[in-house]
Amino acid sequence: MNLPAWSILVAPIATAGLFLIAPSPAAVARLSRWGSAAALAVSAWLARAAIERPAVSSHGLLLDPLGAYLAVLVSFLVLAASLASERFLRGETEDGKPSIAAWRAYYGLLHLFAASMLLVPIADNLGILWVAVEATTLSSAFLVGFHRHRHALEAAWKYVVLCSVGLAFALFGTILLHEAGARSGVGATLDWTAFVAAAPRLDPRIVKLGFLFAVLGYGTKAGLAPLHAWLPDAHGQAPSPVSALLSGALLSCAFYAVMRFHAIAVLCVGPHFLGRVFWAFGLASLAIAAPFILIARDYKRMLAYSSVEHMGLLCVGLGIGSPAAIYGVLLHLWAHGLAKGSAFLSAGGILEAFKTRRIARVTGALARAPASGFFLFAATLGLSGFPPFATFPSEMLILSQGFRSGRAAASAAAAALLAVIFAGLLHHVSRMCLGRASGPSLEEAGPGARLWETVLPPALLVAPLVVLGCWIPGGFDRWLSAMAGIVLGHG
Amino acid sequence: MGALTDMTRSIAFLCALALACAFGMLAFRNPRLSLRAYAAQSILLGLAAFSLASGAGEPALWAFAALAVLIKGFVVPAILGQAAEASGSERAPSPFVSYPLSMLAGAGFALLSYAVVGPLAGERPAAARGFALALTLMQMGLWIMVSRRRALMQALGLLVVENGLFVAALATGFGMPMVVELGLAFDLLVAVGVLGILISRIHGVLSSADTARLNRLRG
Repeated sequence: MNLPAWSILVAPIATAGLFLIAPSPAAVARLSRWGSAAALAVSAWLARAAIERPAVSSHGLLLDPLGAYLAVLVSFLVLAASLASERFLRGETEDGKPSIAAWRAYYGLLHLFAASMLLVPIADNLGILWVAVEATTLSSAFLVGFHRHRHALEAAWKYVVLCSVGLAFALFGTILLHEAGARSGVGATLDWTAFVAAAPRLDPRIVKLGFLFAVLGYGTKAGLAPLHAWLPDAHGQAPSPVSALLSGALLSCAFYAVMRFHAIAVLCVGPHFLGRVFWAFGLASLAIAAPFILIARDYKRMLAYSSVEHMGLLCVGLGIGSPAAIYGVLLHLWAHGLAKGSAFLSAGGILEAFKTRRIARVTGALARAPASGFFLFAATLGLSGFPPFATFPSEMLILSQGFRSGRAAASAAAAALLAVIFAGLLHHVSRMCLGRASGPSLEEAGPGARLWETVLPPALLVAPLVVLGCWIPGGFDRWLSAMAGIVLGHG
Repeated sequence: MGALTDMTRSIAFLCALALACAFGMLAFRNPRLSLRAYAAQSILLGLAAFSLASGAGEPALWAFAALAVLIKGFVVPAILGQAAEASGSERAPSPFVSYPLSMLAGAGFALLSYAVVGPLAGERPAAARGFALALTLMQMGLWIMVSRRRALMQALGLLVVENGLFVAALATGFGMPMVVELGLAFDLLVAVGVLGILISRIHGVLSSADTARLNRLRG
């Protein structure tokens, strides 16, 4: 059966609409579970088709292997976040705040957010890509500000304003590319497939300028330093399932947009210029993240800075630009999304059990809140690039390619910063998880909650992380290689 | 050819007036005046789009220009005007940078933009001039966002950045596919709605929309 690319949007949009008539919180939760499972099934089905057959563009939409890769990651994280949200919202209800309206609003926005993120991978058109990325900001703004107190509102305000202004610059870059295309006869189109085909003929000066604006813009959304100011606030203040989506899925979407522009620019202005830009952003992000992780006091903000670090590492990989490095970048995109998603979901469990975000006030989590503590510890090991997690091979691949590419000093600096971050993350999290278990065991699941709600969402994400760390199936290997070709412009 | 130069001349004139509006926004102390300056700027740019449409003779362009005037000249100022109404009673917090210095910065942005884009002129100098103006407006919008403290002014700065994009699209003769242009207009409308709601919620919690007080999240 041949499904069109837009069918990927049907499940999340229909689910968001059906919430309006869902009678009770339990019905909302059940609907969300089935809706996100359906979205994942459609993504996986389309991904299989996209890998097997060459993609055909229709109505400005297209799903190629690279887009399919992102779509599967996004819908997988949405499923886990949707499962984890039930416990989060029930915890809020005990304080007497959210009503059925809050459940509907939260889940409705969550699925609209999912739909906007799934529009990103199927856009064949740089304009639609931009509209989709801007829509992700707008649909998630009220999720970030869900708590409505001053901190949440501050975070939401910064998030919308900074990301919108960043994206305005990305649109300016897109318009410049359009102008370059119009001058060399691409025509009135913004299809990136047409741009990749015409790239060698475009005016390199305009493409350079347009590329810089695009990276500046989508880089703001991806949280690259020094444009990351919104990121720790939004990820720290948002409800934890939303933080998991922001960090694992949304940053991946923004980085995906950067990779699309890379594919066009690399054929026009050459890898040397791009390499310098990406290395600069990458090293800046690693250098900003390292001290903030070391001095972190709030564990959700610490995880947020770890996202800045990983986006920086992905940029370094793009800067190296060899096919093997891009292969590593793509593997790392999934690995980071899965690890960060499970880290935020289990951090949400810790927050619920200990009622504090302060690292210093959480001790002995492994004994007092075993499920969340275990997965937080495991996910942190994954985030630091420990075997057997998939981040280990991907980081090794990127770093070793860095040394091979001849930028020994820069690669050594990146490796040193990663080591500092590794030490910082492990120091904080081992204090939280292993420290003295002074105090009673905290009833983690809460009255009326089931244990699987704590265990299943992070476990869903950690399992593939471990599998990919130990074994990369042949089909997956070919998928990654095909995508590396697309990012390098000859796919 | 005569008609064509007349057309570009009228577009250039309208764009110059739009730039003057942006300088006005840098200078006005009263946010409501700035809001009116923004509305005037949007209408002027909408008229420029009309002028382009009458030259190109494309009905879709006419519709798009009308949509731009309607949304940005009337709907958006009305939404933000309500948000301003809610927060209007208090005294305006003084900006981070003095007003004359802001004007000077605006002039600096214009020079910088022409210097950056100038070398790209090639055989389409009008487009390059449009890009330079677009970049100027975007920088001035950014400047309004960082130098003013009111949430409303920050939202207006963002809208000036967006008007800069409109000029950029104008410079390419609105060659982008229509679905993209409509998507942009829709996104703008939703963004203003979101910002308006956030402004009134911030005002409800802080009893002020001074963003300098949104400074608790650190480290």
